[in-house]
Amino acid sequence: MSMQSMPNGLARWRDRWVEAALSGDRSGAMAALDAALGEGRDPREVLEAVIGAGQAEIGRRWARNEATVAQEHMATAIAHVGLTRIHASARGPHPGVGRIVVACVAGEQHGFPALLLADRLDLEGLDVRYAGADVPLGCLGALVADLDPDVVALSVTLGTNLPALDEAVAVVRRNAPRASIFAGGAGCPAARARALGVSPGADTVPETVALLSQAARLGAARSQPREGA
Amino acid sequence: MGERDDLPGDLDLAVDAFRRELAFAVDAEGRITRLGGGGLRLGLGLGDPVASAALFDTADKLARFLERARVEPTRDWELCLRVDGRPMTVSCSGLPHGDGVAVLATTLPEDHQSSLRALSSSIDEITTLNRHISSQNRDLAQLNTDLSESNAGIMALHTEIEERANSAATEAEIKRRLVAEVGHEFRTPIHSILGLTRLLLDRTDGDLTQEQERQVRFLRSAAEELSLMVEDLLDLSRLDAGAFPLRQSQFQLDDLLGELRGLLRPLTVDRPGVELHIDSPSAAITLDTDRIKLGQIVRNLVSNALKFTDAGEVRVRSRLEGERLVMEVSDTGIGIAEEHQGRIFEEFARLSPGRPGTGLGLPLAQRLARLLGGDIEVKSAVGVGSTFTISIPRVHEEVIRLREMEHRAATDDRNRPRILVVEDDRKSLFVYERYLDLHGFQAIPVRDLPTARRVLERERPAAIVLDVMLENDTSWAFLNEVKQHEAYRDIPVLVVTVVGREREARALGADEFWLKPLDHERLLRRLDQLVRERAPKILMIDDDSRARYLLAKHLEGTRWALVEAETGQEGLDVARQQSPNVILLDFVLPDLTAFDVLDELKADPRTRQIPVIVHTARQLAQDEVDRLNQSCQGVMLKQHLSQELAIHRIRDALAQAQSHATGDA
Repeated sequence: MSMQSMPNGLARWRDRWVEAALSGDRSGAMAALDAALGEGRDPREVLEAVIGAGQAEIGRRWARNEATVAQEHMATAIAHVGLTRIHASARGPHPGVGRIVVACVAGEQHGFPALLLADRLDLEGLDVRYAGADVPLGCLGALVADLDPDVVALSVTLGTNLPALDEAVAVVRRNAPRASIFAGGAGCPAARARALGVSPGADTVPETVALLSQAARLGAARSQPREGA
Repeated sequence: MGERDDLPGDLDLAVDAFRRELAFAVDAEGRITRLGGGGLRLGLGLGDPVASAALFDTADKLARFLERARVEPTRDWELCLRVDGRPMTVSCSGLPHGDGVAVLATTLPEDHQSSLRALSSSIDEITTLNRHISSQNRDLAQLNTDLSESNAGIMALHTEIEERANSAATEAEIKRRLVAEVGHEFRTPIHSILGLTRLLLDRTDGDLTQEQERQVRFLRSAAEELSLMVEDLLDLSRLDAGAFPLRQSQFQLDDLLGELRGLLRPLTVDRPGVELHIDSPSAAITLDTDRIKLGQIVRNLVSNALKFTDAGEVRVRSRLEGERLVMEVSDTGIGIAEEHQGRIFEEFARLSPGRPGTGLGLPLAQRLARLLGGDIEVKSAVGVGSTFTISIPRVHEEVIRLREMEHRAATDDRNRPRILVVEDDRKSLFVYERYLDLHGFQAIPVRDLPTARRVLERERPAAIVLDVMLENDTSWAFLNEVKQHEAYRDIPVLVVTVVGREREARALGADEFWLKPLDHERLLRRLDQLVRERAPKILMIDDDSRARYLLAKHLEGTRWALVEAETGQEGLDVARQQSPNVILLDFVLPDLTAFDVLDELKADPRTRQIPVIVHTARQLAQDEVDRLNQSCQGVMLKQHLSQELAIHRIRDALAQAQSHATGDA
């Protein structure tokens, strides 16, 4: 998400969030979050513009050597708490929206981007199951076989984990044949997804949310007659 | 790993081998110009661009670092490089070196890195778990919503059913009332006709010609027919209203059959070709049910059979099958077509218009049979005849249950308060018994007032539940009787009724008044209060032990408990400790005067409200009486102390204390 598109009011809270998170001030960060929510903002907006944009900003600071990996870790831990706080306001899926499983491929330790996407979809009223970071292949297979999702979104943050994506796609195809598969994340170029015959995620969170929810609804609509039979 | 396999012997080389560092130099284009020691390897050769070791999107940061280090010494930049074949975060420092840069990269200690990894994955796991729980919670909440929705649906359905039942009940009630009203209105003129035709036939007002007599007889038989019709109608409407009480008695079937023979013979007079046989059973049958209703059933069936039989016979046979009485009324009449057999018990279903009758006899017979716990079945063939079979229990079920209940009530369980329940409806009586029994009371169930009176003569119940139709004035009289009677007055009476005449009930002394339907929980709570509350305590302060003994005797058999004190001081102490409900104070005490005691009592908030009756053996002077009247409830002379008087006075004092207490509340 680019800086320009961010609402001014929320930019203030994002900056507070970033400062607090980098200095390990969890309660300061939550105060910024609560203040943003307290303005009557849509939780989806707060999630994207405060936590999501805040994490992106911290990444940029690392690239400018203004933040260390240790600070990044700390900030991510705080961001988990923030997401959980916002997630508490999610009301559960609307009927007929379709089910989405969001998972990180095996070995991928960076669960945060996938969680953020999952929570964002959840707030959208979709039926989302977040499988976590570093989901072993066997677990992923069993999970999708069990949940029979309409969409499976696989997240890769480090390019070194791309080989695990190939295996993950194969196991999902085998165990949940009717699911549409998406692959995305910082470590997964769109070309790689296309090469695997799956859909790439979009560049921004809202666009990805739109893509996935559309696919999930389509999947749910298609599966209706089958369930009725 | 060849480089490190041959561990060197000298110090510098050893240090080199254990260092977790990486040293290299690049030119202005970022190509490797030198590779140093330091334990770690980049995996690149001379001339390779160092950017190819940077991980994906961190090449920019590496470029920025090199750019800066070419100009000035730059310390501690974290970069992600592929080192020793795997991605690693290294901290790089660089110096200008020719037109390029000399770089030293150090790694974080392994255990720090793995701690960080463990921490991240723990956080992720916790979050995953949290999402899992919240999704489960949502499923639960959804389930809850579904449940409460279906619950609401069921409630709505119930309401609808109830409304329909109500409207059906209202319709039935209107019909019943109409029938009852009209029936009663018809009775008087019919009886006039019957009476007048009787007078005419008796020639009271002069002779009749033969033709006139024939006409009058027609008139009379038509009126008799009409009269029967009206009676059947009234019976049916009473059955509908549930106001057809069962009057069971023990009797021999043979006696009933004998009566029926006499009663039914006249019906055969205008049926010369038909014989009526009422056979006696092979062995005597003793019944315990409603004799009149059974007779009515047989009479209806026989008269119905006679109506449809022109030749042959109508026969009544009886037998016992186990504990059931089976009676068959068979005829050689016209029979009932199969398709009509299902309708013959419907009211007004007259299937043979040419025949006399109201269409009410069979439905009435069936309803009566059901009231007796049985039913009537029919077998018939057109042109051959019909057989109606009555089957009822030999002993009516409620008789059995009532006997069991009476038997239970007769076994006095000393540990449980006994509650006299007066209730004319048998079913309610069973419900009462069960409820009371479950909650530690023993019910003495009675169905009428004479039995209730007999119970009161025999024992003193802890309370009376009077659940009767209070439209009936005898019930009011009973309530009045109990509350007027010295011995019973203190027994709490709870009136439960369908008519709202609470004021009258209260005026007659009912301790509680409830409209039906009765909330049993409330009844039990109130009973608990009334029966189980502490017995009112009477404190008697008197140095005369005979006087105390006498009062104790007087109070025997009442709910009251007596506490005694010999001196004024002792009396005051007891009053403060035990808070009696009433104090009887001797005017002359060894230590204090009655006035002293009274003043002390009034001075203490704990004893101020307790009513005091002063009793004395000597005539008091008028000023003493006046003074006492200001601070006590009343004066009682010892020589006049009868049980009745004592009880009266104490009761008045208690009543006043009670109204005081409720007034304060």
